[in-house]
Amino acid sequence: MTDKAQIAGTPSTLVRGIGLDTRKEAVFRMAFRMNRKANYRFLEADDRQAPDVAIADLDSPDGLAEADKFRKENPEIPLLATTVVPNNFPQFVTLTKPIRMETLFPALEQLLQPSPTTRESPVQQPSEPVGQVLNSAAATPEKISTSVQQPAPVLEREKPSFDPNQIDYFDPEQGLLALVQRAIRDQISVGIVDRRNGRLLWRIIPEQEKVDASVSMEEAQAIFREGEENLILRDGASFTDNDSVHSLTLTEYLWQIHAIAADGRLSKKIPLNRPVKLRRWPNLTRLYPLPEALRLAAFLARSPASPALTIRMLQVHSQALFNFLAAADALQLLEYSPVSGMTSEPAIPSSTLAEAQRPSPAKRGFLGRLLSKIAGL
Amino acid sequence: MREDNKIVFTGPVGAGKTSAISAISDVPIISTDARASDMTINRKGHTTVAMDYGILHLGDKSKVHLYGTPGQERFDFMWDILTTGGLGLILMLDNTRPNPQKDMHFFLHAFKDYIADVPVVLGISKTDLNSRPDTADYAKMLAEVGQDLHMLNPVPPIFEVDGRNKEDVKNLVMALLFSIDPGLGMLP
Repeated sequence: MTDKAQIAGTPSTLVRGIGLDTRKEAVFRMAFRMNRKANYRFLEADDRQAPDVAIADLDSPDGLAEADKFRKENPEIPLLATTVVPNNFPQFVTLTKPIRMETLFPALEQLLQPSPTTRESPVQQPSEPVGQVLNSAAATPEKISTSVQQPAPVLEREKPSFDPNQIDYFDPEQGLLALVQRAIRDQISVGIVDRRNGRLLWRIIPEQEKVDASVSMEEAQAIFREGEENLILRDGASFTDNDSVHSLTLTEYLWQIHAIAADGRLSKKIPLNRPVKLRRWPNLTRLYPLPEALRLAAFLARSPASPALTIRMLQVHSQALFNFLAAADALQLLEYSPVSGMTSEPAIPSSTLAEAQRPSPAKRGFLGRLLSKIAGL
Repeated sequence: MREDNKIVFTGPVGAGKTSAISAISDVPIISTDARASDMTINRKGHTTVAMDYGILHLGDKSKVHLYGTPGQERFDFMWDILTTGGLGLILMLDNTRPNPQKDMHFFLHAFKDYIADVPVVLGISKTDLNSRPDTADYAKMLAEVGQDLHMLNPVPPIFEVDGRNKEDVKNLVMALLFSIDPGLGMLP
């Protein structure tokens, strides 16, 4: 761990990306933001701080060369290599794509544990790659393939823990989000300003169906965590055009800002134990990538399911689900009975139906391999 | 060849089917492009007159066949050959064409038997040239167009895509796979 950077007083673990394209970097950043406990921070390309750990994409055009170079120049810094073909890279500690939060974080934690002896051991034989285990109907314990002489340490798969009594909630109908929604509804141009320094963060121009953003998703997340009360609305007409901004559509903005504001918490509007259905899929190729969004959209479009059941059936982290639900709800893509006025939990037979429609184990294995292949392209 | 290991890309001329297959195929696609004539000449200099074919190798001797249908309606007799079995249908629609709803209607009905058994995913191309209709509009169109269809996934993914963009095409295919089984990749 390092004390070079801190978020909310806790030392951050700095992560350097190697050979990652911007989209993959964005997904890692989001995953790190969601895992508050670990407090990882993804370094920007121009940030020259020494990382605590590096993540490489060996399947990208320059990924292997860059990973080799990094390791040569920084032999003391652990490196986690991601790939769809781990057997091709016995010299690296690998994590098989598709990367999931429940495999990524145990792998990083294991890498960060001081074990110089094992890390410097010569290669003997590649260990069983995670992806094969993940995609095998028979296998259960999950391993990270490592370049160690001793048997590879087994990473117990961290099934997302979910305690309904430990859920944090947020209210999208209060505070800044409510004001933003109202401004958009009433076609009023507004600016959102950080009151501490007067910096304009977003300029919302409903009549042009766009938002000029001066901050990245990651900056916005940090600002929200420091306290929504630091943000105030100003009349949009008082601001002039600024070239140093990027434009978002209103849809893109609402998706982002609600996922940021949710920050792993469940919207107070959405009932934990009542069915939620996705009316239509979000346009996921043009929205900020949220972890598990494809899987969650497929599941909730197929049949209504309560958030609690969704977590259990899909084994997704509750934070990923809650962020997705907040963002989708902001785009009015969800159907559910509001929390207020509801009393008891109804039966949810539809998901049982979904379970019954699952492909055979053999076909699931095949489809899982295809998914890994596509994700790693 | 296992006939069920097949993904079919369809849609009108110029929607980006050939590009999409090229973006993810492990091998250079076998394409039967030729100089376009008659009905397609105004939209595209070259077009697929028979079909495109690409492959995804999965590393264990199994593979997935990627087929692109010709965009011209007069070749629809070939589509039955392509759609015997399969994993799903990717329908690519060109947002600059005069009547995308008519295109959607035509292709979904042309494949109506197929999409009763396998999921469909819609990719809307050229939205940079013509932003309307948007994906929400397509969802509304689908409600009308699909009234008499028995789609396996009546709420399909509808994404803006550029067939030349690998990430877009990957998202289409992954959405198709999750539409078959949202639990893919989970531990048993």
